[in-house]
Parts: sequence; C-alpha cells; structure tokens
Amino acid sequence: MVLQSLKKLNYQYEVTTGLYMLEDWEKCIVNSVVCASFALIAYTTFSHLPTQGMGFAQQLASYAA
Amino acid sequence: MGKGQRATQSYKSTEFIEQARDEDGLVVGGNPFKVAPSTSASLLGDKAAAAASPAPATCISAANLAAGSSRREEAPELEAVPSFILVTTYLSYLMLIVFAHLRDFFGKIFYPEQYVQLREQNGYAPMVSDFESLWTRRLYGRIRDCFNRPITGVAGGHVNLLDRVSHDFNRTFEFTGRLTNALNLASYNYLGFAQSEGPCADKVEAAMIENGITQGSSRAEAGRTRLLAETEDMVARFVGTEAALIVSMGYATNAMNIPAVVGKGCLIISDELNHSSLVSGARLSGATIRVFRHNNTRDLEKVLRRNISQGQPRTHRPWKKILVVVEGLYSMEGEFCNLPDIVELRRRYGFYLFVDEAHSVGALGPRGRGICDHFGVDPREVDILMGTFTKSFGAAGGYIAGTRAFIDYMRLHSHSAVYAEAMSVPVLAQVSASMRMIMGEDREHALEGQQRLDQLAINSRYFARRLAEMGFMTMGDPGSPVIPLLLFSPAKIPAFSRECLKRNIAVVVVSYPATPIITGRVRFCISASHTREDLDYALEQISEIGDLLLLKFHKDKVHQDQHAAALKKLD
Repeated sequence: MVLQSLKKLNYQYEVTTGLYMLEDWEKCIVNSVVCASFALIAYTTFSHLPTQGMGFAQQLASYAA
Repeated sequence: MGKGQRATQSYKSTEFIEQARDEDGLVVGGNPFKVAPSTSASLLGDKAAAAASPAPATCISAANLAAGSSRREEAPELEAVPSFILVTTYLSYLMLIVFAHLRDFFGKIFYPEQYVQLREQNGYAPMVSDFESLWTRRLYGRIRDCFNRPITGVAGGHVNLLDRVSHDFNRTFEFTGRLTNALNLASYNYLGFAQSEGPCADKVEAAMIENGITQGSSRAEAGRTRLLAETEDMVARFVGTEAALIVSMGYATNAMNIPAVVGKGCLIISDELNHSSLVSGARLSGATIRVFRHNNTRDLEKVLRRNISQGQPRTHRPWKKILVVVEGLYSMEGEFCNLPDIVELRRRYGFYLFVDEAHSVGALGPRGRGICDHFGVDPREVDILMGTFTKSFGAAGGYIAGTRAFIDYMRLHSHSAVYAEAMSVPVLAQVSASMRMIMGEDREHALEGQQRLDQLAINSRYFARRLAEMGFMTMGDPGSPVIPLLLFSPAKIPAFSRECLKRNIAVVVVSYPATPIITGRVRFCISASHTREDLDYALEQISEIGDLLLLKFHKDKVHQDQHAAALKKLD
C-alpha cells in the first residue's frame, strides 16, 4: 500500500523533472547530485541555524530596547 | 417611400471624418469597421441603410460571425500556466540538453565506431552535422516508440496497432506479433469515411471495374476523363465557387500551385503558423515573404500598411501582386482564422486571399462546406480556396477552387496539372461518392451525410467541454474537431502516450519542431464514427491519466468559476 503510493510519487517526480526520459545510469547520476545538494543544505542548516538564530534574536532585542 | 426618395435622402454631404489614430496609424478602438459605420451614420440620412449589412444565412453562421468579429486580442496561453510548470519544463529541457551534449562528447572519445557519420574520415567532412541532428538523435530518439507506430487495417474509429518492443532504448524495435485494437483519436477521420465497407466502398469498386485503376497520364495530356471532369464540377459546387482543379497529392496542391500564382516581384504575407506545404510553395515561387503574428488581424494590417507604403525591397516600386495566405483551421492549435475580419481588410486594401481549408472543408459549418459556411462569408469573397480530401472525405489529394478564368489559367500553368499524374480512379471515386453523400445527393443514403456532420459537431463540442470542465488546459475554438491538450513538460509527452496505449487509446503527441518548444501537446482528432460510449471511455481514462501525471492545471480556476456561478444563482 505504502509502496504503491511511494512508487506513484516517484513516478510523478520523474515525470515532472524530466528524469523519466533518461536511462537508468543517467537517473543515478542526477539523483546522486540532487541527494548531495540536499545533504549539503541540511548540514549547513543544522550546524549554523541555531547559532545564527540566537544571534538575530539578540540583535532584535538590543534594537527594541 | 420609393427608390427615388430614398436616394435623395441618402447622402447629406461628404464631410471629412477625423478619426483618432494611435502611433501605428491604425484607428483607435480596435476594429475600424465597427467604428466607421457609427460615425458616418451622421452622413447617411437613413439610419436603416447605415445599420444594414448582408444577413448571414442561418443563425449559427450569425453567431459565428459575431464571435469572429468581436474576438478580443489574442492573449498568449502561457499567461495562464502556473509558473511551477514553466520552471520545471525549462529545467527538464536544460538537463536533457546537457546530457545530450555530454553523451556526444564522451561517446566520440570512447566509442568512435558508433559515431562514424559525425566525425571526419580520411579527409572527408562529417556526413551529418552533430549539432543539427542533436534533437533527432538525443531527445526525439529517446522517445521514438511514441511516434510513427505501425498500424494495420482500416484506420477508422478503432485501429489495430502492431505491438513492438525495444531492448536497447528505442534504437531498434522488434514486433511481438500481437495486435492491439485501440480507440483511434489520432487519425484525421472527421466524418468517418475511412471505411472499407459501405456505400462509398461499393461505388469505388464499381468505378474500378468500369475505369481501371490508373488514369495513365497527366491531366493536360490524356488524363481528363469524364469522372475527373464531373468530380471537379462537383467540388466547385460543394465549395460554392465557379470551377475547381483537382491535384493528386495534398502537399503538392500548395507547393505546386502557389508558384503558378505569384512570382518574383510579388509579396506573400502568411500567418506564422502556416503548414509546411504553404511555406514550401511560398519559397518555391521566388516571391518576397513576410510573416504576421498568428491570427492577429491588427498585426496583419500593420504588415500590409508597412509593405504597401515601402514597395519592393530595393527599388521601392509597387508590388505586382499581394497574396495573403491563411489556413481555415490550424491543426496544431485547433483555432479558426479570423475570416470575417480578413475579408473586410481585403475589401479595404485589395489583396488576393488564399485560404487553405485542409482541415476545415467537410468538417465545419452547418452544411459542411468549410470555414466560409461556418462564418457565413460568401465564398466569392475569397479569391483562392484550397482544400484536401484526406481529412473529411477519406480519400487523398487536394483541390483548388476559384473563378472560372482563374482555374482555366491554372489548368495550363500549374505544374501539378501539366506534369503530375492525374488522380487515380479509386481515390477519385471515393471523393465523388463521399462528397455526394455529404451534399445529400445520394438517393439511397440521403440523410446520412447530414447525420455525420451533426454527429461530428456534437462529438467535438462535447469532448472539448468535458475536457475543459475537468480542468485540463485545452486550446482551440468551440466546434473545431481538433482538440489539443497542453502538456508542457518533455517527460509528460511520452508518459501520456504510453499510458494511453496501456488503456487501448491511440493518440498523437506533438513536440518541438511542429510546435514551440515549451508547449508540447497531445492532439485529439474527433470523428463522427466515435460513439458517445467511446468518448466517455476516453474521457474517463484521460481524467485518470491527468490525475496521475498532474496535468489538470486549471482545476482551481474551474472550481472558482463554478463557485462564482453558484453564488450568482443564489443572488
């Protein structure tokens, strides 16, 4: 059931981005590039967002005061 | 009130009417033929004479005339597309083109024997330019199984497709030996005359037994038989002109006959989306070609005024002839040309008008006579009416119709009449039999022609309305038997085609060279031989596929319109 809906989501993703037309090894290349980009974005978000968020909050507090 | 009294009351004076004009020199307020009568009514004493205009024959033609002349300026469809779709389409094409170039680059290095035709060999230049063939090899070649599917048997309301399978990504195909009987939304079979049995087929057999199969000569030499002469007269009567000339090939009707009409020193103004046969004919003639934006009468007027005032390119002499070439029904858009406005422009500027009714003859109009019938325009207002027998008559070939003097000239000077073989007997008999049936002159099947016309009109309007209600983005005017549905993304094009084939529906998908690159589409051709159950089945399956492939771009708009209509009803 879940597998069916995952397959359907994967099909819709492939059809919207144009991966449907590529051969399997080309799809691997593109998907690995996409996964690598997501991994990098996730890393920078999780490592820098808390400290930067606290920094912004402190600056706003100092402006408001 | 007698005639003499009315005449003295008609004109008061000839005062100069100052009209507001914009920077192009065109009258402000859109259609000058709507503005002019209302201001010159001050000149004419009789208000009824000012308001009178030739009344169209039936109320359907009147409605079409009103719709055609009050049509707003064409807003491009791309404005209504969600920007997510446009962005993903552009990015997909970018990715596909990058992959194409990378594969070419690495392929030429690592597999040189597969790219023999693209590389220099022994001092010889490459046979095929690798950049120009990029689209065909790398993008079209990936989805080749959706195009040129082999069929067998009669391509009527249902068609038998030969199943084939590919093991190396569509480079080669193998037949599995099985057939698929699919609903045929792909063939140009508007009135359902593509049959192998029935009254037309019987008449074809009888004609073949009596006359043989070939005419054996070109029309100018020994090919003018009684069957051909009678059919030409019938075509002229059908279309509403004085005479007609039949050519054995539809493409050649345009490509060979436009050069016979215009030559060097003439001007051809053609719509930007004209068919390639019209483009071929225009280029072969050697005349100067100018293009106006699709279905844009204002742009046509601008181009006319600019070119008439400037004259021929270097000498600035007046043009020998000006020919405006439009199509009655554009098959990739499903839109009609704006014939009433173009005919009024013709009265004003005096150019010759050529209308290519390949898709509209036999399919439009309450009596099936084509686009002049649909809009209620007199066919004598169009100088050259051209059409083909492929679409509505179930035959092949084309015709040119016009005044008797013009057709007599063409019989001597057109290459297709002098050098090409005359139309073969079975095809000619099919044309004759189907045209007689549509006109209602066939005594045993007197009503069948009109029934087919009505069935086609009902089918096409029903299908278009249902598709629009489902939230698909369709193009085309109401009443057109060709209904394109926009797909945009390059991956949805083969996906749609394969999903349809899984559900036993045969459709034609169209992509880059035939349409602009962003708007890939699927084109449904409705036929009078489709029953209501066929269409309902097709609509159900298309709705499922639309949900699966996320194609219902206008679903929110449809809901909003329905809400608005329901609220209005409550008030």
